[in-house]
Amino acid sequence: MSKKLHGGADVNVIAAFHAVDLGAPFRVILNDCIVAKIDSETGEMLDYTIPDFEGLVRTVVMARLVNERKLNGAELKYLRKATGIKQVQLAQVLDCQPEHLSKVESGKHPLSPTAEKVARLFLFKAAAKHHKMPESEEKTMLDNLLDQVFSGLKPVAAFDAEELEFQFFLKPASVGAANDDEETGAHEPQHCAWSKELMVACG
Amino acid sequence: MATNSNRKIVEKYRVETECVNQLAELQYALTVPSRFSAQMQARNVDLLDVFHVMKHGQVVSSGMRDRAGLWVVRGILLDGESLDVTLTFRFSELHVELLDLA
Repeated sequence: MSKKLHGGADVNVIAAFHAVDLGAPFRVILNDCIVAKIDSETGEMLDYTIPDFEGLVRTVVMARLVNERKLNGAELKYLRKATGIKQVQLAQVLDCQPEHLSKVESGKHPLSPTAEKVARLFLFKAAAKHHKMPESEEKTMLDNLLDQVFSGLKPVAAFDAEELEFQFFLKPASVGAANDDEETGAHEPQHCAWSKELMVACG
Repeated sequence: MATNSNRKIVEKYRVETECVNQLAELQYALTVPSRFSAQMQARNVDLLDVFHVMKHGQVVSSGMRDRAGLWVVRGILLDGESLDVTLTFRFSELHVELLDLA
């Protein structure tokens, strides 16, 4: 899909956009949802727009945390950064010194399987904004479920995490909301949610 | 002296800061000029740092550009580095455009 703009630029929806600027130590591919402004003469991309950026960051974090590939130091650091957790906070949760965590994140020390499980659960809850949920029976059930999920997860060691690739799509949150916009012609932001349709781990 | 000056700036843009910090938690669209890819890599920052500054930083300058709010947001990254991010905000469209990093 392409649309002409004034000033010699086209607007295209990119079929598969590699989100390098997210800085992830694994490949993040965004499908059919990135709108890019392309220079009509040179074909060069001028800018691109990521819808629901905050939702994307949280979805990327959660996708990696439930993936069974063992976390390496760079990934742990990235996931911590994406959830806004300071090194000292995570070290406290993992019951280790920040200096030790620093060495783990720089790849000098491995992350023990027990610490990895604790880190995964903690970071997942941070990404899911678990702390914002009011205390309730549902929250307790969710806690138990997450404990089961991460206790049952058996991380698989890998030597080249760059080969890990996640693909994401943006789906309307509900059909009704999308139809409402069409009927009124309103240019209000459409309510969408990121979804991970496919996950590819090469090699 | 510098502290007093900083306090004045913080107070002056308190409302704008609140808006930016709140917006960072919403479903906003982020436009990124392609030329920033190389600049971000050279500075060892990425869009997560921009996100972090929006969420926790403070507006230190305010203006207008093409009928959108043009604000400079200053934040301290998780590793202690300071980052100034220049952004335009169209709150009615939940749209943010990255203009500069310093």
